[in-house]
Amino acid sequence: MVEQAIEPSGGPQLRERPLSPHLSIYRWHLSMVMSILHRLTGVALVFGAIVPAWLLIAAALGDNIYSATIHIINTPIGYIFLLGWIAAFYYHLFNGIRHIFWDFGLGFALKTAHRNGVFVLILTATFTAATWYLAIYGGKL
Amino acid sequence: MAENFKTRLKRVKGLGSAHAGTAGWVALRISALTLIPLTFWFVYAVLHLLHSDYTEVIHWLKNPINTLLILLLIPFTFYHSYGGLKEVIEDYVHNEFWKICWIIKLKLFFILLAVADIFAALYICFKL
Repeated sequence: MVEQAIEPSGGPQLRERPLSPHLSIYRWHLSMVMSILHRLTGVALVFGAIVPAWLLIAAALGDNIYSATIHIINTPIGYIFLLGWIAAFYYHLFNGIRHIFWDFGLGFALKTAHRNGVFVLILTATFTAATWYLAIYGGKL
Repeated sequence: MAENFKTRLKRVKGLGSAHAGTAGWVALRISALTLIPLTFWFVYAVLHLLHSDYTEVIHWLKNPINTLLILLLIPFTFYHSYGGLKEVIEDYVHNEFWKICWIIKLKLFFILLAVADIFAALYICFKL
């Protein structure tokens, strides 16, 4: 990047400034992937939240509109989205709790952060699998 | 260049920290903490309503406890969504004009959605 520096002599002069190393420089490691995933799942969850937000409005508008929306959701693709939403939800939830611990300065040491990262992944997998199982085979809870 | 006629004070004013970032940072964390129990309940609600028809869904929504929890869930969800997406925009949109444009659009969108949802929840509870 070229930045304009105001020289003491008066006129603006172009000068090459050193750049901080960016994403492509680093070796991929767990904390980095998990940090990126936290954002990605966050953004995905916002888009996912629009569906139940609309469903509530559809329910107020009447059976026709509500059932039409459910009809769209009740397809294999709709189910894949629902299951993906649940996985993203649990990941963002557990990793979010990890972030709040970090905000208090807890579990932030290099090795500990790696370990609680693995723990978050295990929790996410377990809860996601359990919820998927209930959604598919659980019938009416 | 007209830039050069600006004083040094004028050039830096408005570009630095407003010293008001902490409140937003804390609010994002508080909304996150509040959402932990609320979203667990919401996942349970989704699983419960997955195999229900319209009449059963309305019956469930008319339960005052469910209405109350939905009315809590809506503002916290959309506030947290707004806060999170705002942070992403602040990080990746570098043009000051478009950055502010996007943040305002986001805010209006979530306010609209939240108001519509709150109205829908109240309408179902009291009028259906």
